[in-house]
Amino acid sequence: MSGPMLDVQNLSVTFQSDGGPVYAVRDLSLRLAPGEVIGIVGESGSGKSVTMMSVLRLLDTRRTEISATELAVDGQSLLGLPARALQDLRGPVVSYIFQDPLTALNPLLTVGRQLTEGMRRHAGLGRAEARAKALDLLRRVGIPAPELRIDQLPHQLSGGMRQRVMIAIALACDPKLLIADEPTTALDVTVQAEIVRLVQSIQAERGMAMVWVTHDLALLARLADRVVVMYAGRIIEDAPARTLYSSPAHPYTAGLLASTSRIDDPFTEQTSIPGMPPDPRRIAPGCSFAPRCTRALAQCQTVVPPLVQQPDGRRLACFNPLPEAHT
Amino acid sequence: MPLFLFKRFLQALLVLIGVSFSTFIVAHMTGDPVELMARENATLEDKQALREFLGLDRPLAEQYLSFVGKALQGDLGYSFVQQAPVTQLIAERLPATLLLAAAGFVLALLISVPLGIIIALKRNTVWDVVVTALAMIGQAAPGFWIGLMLVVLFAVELKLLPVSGYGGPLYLVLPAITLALQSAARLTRLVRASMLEVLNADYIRTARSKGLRERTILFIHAFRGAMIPVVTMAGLELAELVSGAFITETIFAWPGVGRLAVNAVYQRDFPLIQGVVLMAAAFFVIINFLVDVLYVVIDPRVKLK
Repeated sequence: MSGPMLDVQNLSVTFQSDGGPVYAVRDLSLRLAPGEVIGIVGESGSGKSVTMMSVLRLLDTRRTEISATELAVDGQSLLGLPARALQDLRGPVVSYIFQDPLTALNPLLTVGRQLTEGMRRHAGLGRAEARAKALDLLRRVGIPAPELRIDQLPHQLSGGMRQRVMIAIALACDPKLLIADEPTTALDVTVQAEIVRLVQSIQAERGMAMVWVTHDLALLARLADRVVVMYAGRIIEDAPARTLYSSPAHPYTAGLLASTSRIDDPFTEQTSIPGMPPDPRRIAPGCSFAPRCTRALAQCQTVVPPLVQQPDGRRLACFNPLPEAHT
Repeated sequence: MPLFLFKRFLQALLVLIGVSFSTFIVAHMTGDPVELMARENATLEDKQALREFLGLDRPLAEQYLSFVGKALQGDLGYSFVQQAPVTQLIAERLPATLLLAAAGFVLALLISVPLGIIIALKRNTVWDVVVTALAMIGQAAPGFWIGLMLVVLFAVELKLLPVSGYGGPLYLVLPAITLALQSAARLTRLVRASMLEVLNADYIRTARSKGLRERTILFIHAFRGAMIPVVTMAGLELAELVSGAFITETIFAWPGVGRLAVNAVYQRDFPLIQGVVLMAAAFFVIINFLVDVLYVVIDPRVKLK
């Protein structure tokens, strides 16, 4: 398959809440090549998780309205796909690692049960085959004594081990696209690095495409080929990782970078972006970042800057970007 | 496990002592049973003799201790009014109560569990609104009213079922439904709420992300967790039913423990009141214990210690 692994065009996601509609994702377009690793970064509520959850319709369909002109995984369009057909894609084509392994694992079922049920459903493996494969997976994700752990319950494992189990579950059906939704946020800092390294090495050996959703821009530096920055439900900048870190073009990206602590430069002071992200229930005209932006122009208040392909390979939604190259 | 059993046993003993003591006090506060038992023209001496015969002339503390002492040996005393051992009176009535309780309880579960799950899955639809409203009405409506309405409809108007009494299976239908409807009203709403909570859990989303079938998600991932609070509540419902459905048994002239207790209270039949209440308390303790054991089966995180 030479087409994109993931193709999202003009995606909008709206939640019905008691306080009126919440515009979580607005007019988002994104393509991901096979084997490519991208990071999606943004503050809480910027729509980064919602975007990825809506790909396989994992959001509560009763309260959520999803619209898109294209939504395809591995060449197969998901728009209007019946629920049953969608189930066949969950696991073998796209799989997820979730943020909090304590709540994302069923407390009443053993590790083995939760690890094998996907394989048995999709690959039609027998009990013994599935168990053997599960043991291999547990070994691969670095769980000591897998023969013991496989029959244990999630509460008998540490947080880091639970997340390793979650990763094993995500890998169980050999997905072509792995979506990691803040998989290290709920973990201890020391464990975070191990988990990142583990996922990175598995991605490299399997060559699967990966989307890593996080609010930690520093984390993506060594992980992602490409970084997508979201703000208030929109992509505001999408650039190759190297380009983005060396010369951010959107004032918000620059602000995010400036607020990130750098291990190689402990003397530069961290700065935070003044103001708060906008209320996703109210859509103001113009650029959502304009009220907090020091470079805002008059037209930023009235017109939404379109996401435009730039000559240097990035996509940018800004009328007054930072000048090029200040490495 | 043995330690757990031992602790439970001590707790049960404490509960039963507390119950027997408060029942004893409350029963004696209702007045002197001799005034009710003695013949119209009884003299003061007659009454005093009767009091002595029943042992009511002794100090209260002595009466209580002798009751406890005998109860520990399985002797709950002798009914003042019915002139028979309390244990025998209860044993005669218990089968009817247990039959009614079992029928009502099973029916309540058969109604509430599937219904609760269905309306949880169809939340905020017409089905949900209608069933929830009915459940609230069922919870608010007094049991005697439900019983009487059923009698009016099925016995008096349609003449399908007997009005009251104890006999073949047909006699069981209306009282069992009366009990089941009240129980089911409470349980249905709990099943719905509990199911909704579990269905919103992160691990259900994980199950979905694995591409599992909806029925696997529902029965393997959601159902068990959702049943934990339901088991607690159902245990209490069952304990209440087996200790005698006072009102329902009275309406349907059902010869169970409930009616025995009501009559005992009217007649200030102290030993019988104490016996029935003690039996009810014992049922509560036993069923709560069984519920605890059931938790371990449902939720492997729970360990009996």
